[in-house]
Amino acid sequence: MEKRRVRNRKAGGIAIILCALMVLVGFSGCVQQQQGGNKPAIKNPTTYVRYDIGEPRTLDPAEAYDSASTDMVNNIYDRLVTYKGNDTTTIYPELALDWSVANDQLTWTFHLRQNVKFSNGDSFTATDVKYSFDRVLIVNSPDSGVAWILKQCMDLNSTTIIDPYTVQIKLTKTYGGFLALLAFTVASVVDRTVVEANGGVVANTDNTWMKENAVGTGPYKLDHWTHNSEIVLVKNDEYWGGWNGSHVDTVVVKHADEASTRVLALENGDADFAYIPFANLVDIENKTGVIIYDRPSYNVVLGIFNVRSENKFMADKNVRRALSYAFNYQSAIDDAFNSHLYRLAGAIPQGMPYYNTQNNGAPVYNYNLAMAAEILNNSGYPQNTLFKGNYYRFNNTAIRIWYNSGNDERQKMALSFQAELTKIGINSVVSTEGWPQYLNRMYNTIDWDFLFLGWMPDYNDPDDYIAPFVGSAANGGDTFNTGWANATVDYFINQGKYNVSSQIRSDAYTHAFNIYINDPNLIYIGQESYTRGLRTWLQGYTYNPVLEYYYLDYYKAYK
Amino acid sequence: MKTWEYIVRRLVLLIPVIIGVTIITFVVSHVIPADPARAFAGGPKAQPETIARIRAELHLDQPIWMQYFYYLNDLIHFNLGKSYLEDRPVTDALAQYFPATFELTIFAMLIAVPLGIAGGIISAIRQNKLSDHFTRVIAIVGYSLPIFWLALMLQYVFAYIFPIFPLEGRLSIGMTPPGPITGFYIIDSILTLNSAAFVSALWHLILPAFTLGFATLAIILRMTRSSMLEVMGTDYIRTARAKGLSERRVIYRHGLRNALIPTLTVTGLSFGGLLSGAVLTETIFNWPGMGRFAANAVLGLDFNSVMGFTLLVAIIYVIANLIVDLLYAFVDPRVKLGGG
Amino acid sequence: MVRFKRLDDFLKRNESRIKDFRFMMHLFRRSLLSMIGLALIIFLLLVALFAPLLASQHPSYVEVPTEQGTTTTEERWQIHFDEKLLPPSPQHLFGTDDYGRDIFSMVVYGSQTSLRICLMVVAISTLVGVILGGLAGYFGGVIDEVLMRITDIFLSVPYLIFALAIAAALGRSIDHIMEAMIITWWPTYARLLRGQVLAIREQQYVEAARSVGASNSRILFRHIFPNSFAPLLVQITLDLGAVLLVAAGLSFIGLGASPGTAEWGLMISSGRTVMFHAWWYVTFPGLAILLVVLGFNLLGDGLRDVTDPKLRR
Repeated sequence: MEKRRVRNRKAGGIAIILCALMVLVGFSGCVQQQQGGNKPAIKNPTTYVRYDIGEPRTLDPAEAYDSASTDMVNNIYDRLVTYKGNDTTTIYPELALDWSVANDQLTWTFHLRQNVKFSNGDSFTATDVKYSFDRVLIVNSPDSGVAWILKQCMDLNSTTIIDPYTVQIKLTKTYGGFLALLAFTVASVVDRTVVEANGGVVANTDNTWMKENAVGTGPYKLDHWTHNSEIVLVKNDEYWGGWNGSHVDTVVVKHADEASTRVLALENGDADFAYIPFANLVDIENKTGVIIYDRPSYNVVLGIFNVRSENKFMADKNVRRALSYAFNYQSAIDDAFNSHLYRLAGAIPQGMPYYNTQNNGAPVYNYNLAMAAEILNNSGYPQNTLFKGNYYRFNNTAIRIWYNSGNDERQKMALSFQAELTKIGINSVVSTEGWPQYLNRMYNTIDWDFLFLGWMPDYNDPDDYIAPFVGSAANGGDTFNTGWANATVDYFINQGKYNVSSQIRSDAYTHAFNIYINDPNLIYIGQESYTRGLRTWLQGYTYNPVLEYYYLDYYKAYK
Repeated sequence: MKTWEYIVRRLVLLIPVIIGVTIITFVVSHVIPADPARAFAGGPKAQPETIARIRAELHLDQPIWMQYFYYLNDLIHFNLGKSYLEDRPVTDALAQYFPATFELTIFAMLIAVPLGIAGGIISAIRQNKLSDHFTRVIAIVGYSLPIFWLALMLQYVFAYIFPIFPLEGRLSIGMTPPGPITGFYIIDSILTLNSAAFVSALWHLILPAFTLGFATLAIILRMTRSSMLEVMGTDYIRTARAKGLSERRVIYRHGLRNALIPTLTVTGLSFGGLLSGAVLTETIFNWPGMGRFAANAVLGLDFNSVMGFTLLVAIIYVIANLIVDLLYAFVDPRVKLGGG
Repeated sequence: MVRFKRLDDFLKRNESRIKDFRFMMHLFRRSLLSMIGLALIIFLLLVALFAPLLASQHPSYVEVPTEQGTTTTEERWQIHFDEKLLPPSPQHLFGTDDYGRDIFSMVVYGSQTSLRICLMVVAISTLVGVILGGLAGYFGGVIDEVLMRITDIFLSVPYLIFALAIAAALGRSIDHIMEAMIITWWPTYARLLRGQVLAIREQQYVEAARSVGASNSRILFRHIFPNSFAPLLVQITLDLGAVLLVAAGLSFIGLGASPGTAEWGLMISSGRTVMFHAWWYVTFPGLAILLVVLGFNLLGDGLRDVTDPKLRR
């Protein structure tokens, strides 16, 4: 008697649980159905949400250098000039209404916008401009070193206040990309009163208050910042540009290191915009309400040769030319980057001025194992060392290939390159390590032959690429510590850097290219596609390689 | 020995342990060549003055034993150094992340302990029947599972295929965290009468807490079962039965109390497992706690964070064991502290 | 014939032990779960042994020079990008990964790596721990105190966390995580042995042996170690599983096997990014780990049950 009742009760209990589960599943299925159709209901209609990796390090323009930080500074603060939309060549007025340069090519005069207020009500004047620029130079950010950008052509005597709405800047030397430089976050205008009240300006010291707080003239102001979780901006009611038209009121950037999290957030509408790695784009293809935005960016992917390696053959330009032919560029494009890579012709990426000085944009090196083998054979590196049944070159010395751990694309390229080298009788070792060790290896040792790295633009001028890549260390270049140097190339780089005439610059870069491409210290693999996942209801977004995100342009609606 | 004497003695013994832990982690983490100064200065774009300044700040050019003494000196002033990964003091980072991990661990225990004990009792009562075998198999599988794999499977099934639970995080998107009063979202949302945050926090806790607690649940279940079986076979229980007490009373009043004692020990011991499991669970569920912080610090070679975290875990673990020992003595009158 | 006489003597001297042993085997055989555990472990050993026969793809082992000037053997798998991320099929039982490699083959060869890690770590930890713990327990005094304090330090931090800190510093390789785990694991055995030695040392038969003039080493090896054997064996078996879990965890975080190696934890980590459209990459290596650890746990449990004096007769 007792037993049967217990069994019935148990069976009943199980049945109830099963029913509840089915209801739950069905319910969630129903909820998904509601969002079906081509136009799911817009979530959080006045809030823009982006899911991304990376965490801002600071909100201080005098310190911000990494993209997560500059992203915030771009939207909280204004600069004298700016870029708009996806136009990378025209400079637009922002806090400066107009400008002109005197015949000496050194003295610039800016007329400033009037009736502009900071988000706390303070008025913007020329004093703030001088204060901001001088501040960058004095603070000389120890943490990020971003001050170098202004130090290139400005010093503490450069900026002069002519009247409350006119500023004069006298450069220390002519700089072709000066206006581009002024559009970068380091030249943002801060509120002098606020900074003076919160630590002021101390030489060679970052301001801790400015790191976590911000008062600017920009369209948005800081609401709160929970480290490693999210940062939230809200509408600045004092914004000089006004709020006519459609704009989002709130901006939320969530830090989510997990790709699957970002994928899911985009799918269910919690995210309007998300960084999705190339390998995961297939997860969001054909999902309702989601599109993939894809444009060439200025982020380049490079292979770096160590010209000073203990393996003396690396110093031979023919070896490096041969290795440039042995690299399978198409596999890098198709397999490592899932087709989101564009071939690079030289140091200057596509879209930047003077790109066509590089063999008219056609890459000189293409995947050609036969050519690679021929060059090596003709340069005195035959495949003549027998080891365990196979013939190798270089006395079976293994080329040491490195990439930084966690980078899936570089891992694929490394392992693929290794396989290709084996085909032409070159033994190699692929190793990986964390970022700090990787940098140590590259800068403080010669224990490497080849490694992978990338480069992102600071501002829209070819000098930002060609000088660090193929300039010599003595000339302030060789940023990848390859040990390569060529005085003629340096001469042409400087010609391009310090001239404003586009004809002179164009010729200079052409000459430089013709020299360095035949004695390469880098393999110009490609420039990445800027690929992001977006909700179809997001309007106003457009990619600008030097401006990344400008939230004022965004709003959520269906067209 | 009196209770407070015992406590003080145990806490004093904590000091050489801490020093030992710091020596080991310090020596090992300073042995390898790396260039944290350059990495923290911004990598390829770093300026030489920046790098030199950071090297000086980290005392990287001094002999290693000098560096260690700088470190100990800082430690005494509760300065764990700066986390270069997060660009802020390690103590700030740990303070922000600690409540998240603590909340997760508590919930893992809240799932593991009651379910484990209940399962153990049921298993013991129905010894050798189908439900017993079933429960025992689940238990053994439970602590044989790699925790990160369990997390991924649960995520895949219950957050992606059947989107019942959220995939990650502590709160729904766009929701401002309640408080902050204690840093525990559940408590803070109750205190601020924020029902939306309460529900969201609870819902976000379930998958990670279950993952974290599953192995502990298994261990507690087995322990309870075996000690129940042991206790139920003793003369003491037989006497109770002979006296005519109801089966229920026999089990709960007499059997359980004695059976719980070894279970208590096991619970305390598994706390270390929970802290380890937290590192993996938090990484997968993107839980903003100490475990995730540790995993990132370890990969980013953020020395200060790694040492700070290890130290904190050692202190927590030792104190937790102390508490378990005290509770043990409290529950079992046969045990005398510090002796026997 | 001398040989047989010595065998006879041995058998007679250890008669009771042998009877015990046979009874234990009998009990063991009667437990279904223990037998399942044994079967799983034998299965693992067979898979590891016959990996080349079972797998359809095989890695090549290339000798490369290391930084220290020696050579090391690297495991390399062929890349077939055109076959990447295929779901399970008759040609690829467990599907393929993002380099087109056959996951079944990688899981099978991974058993060799896993076995090597487990055995090496446990063997060396046991050796070090048993010697230090045995000596400390037997001689007592200062040696004992010092050992107790040292093991206190190591036992105050959970395994994974300590191994994490150490392995991160040593650098990414399987050898380094093994070293890190050995450093964190030996104290457990030291404590275990010490406890056993302390308990046995006071027994009457040891006193008797000592009064007859037996040397310390004779006592240690003839009386103490053999009687400590059973709990040690149980601990070893259970730890083989635990070590695999920690090693897989460390590899998962990114500290262990170098990329391109077929190691179960690493495979789960690589599979995680593509989990939503390639569930097989994460699932099968995880199942492999589960089955192996399960086997060791069942086996260890079974051994514990049969060697537990309270459950016998």
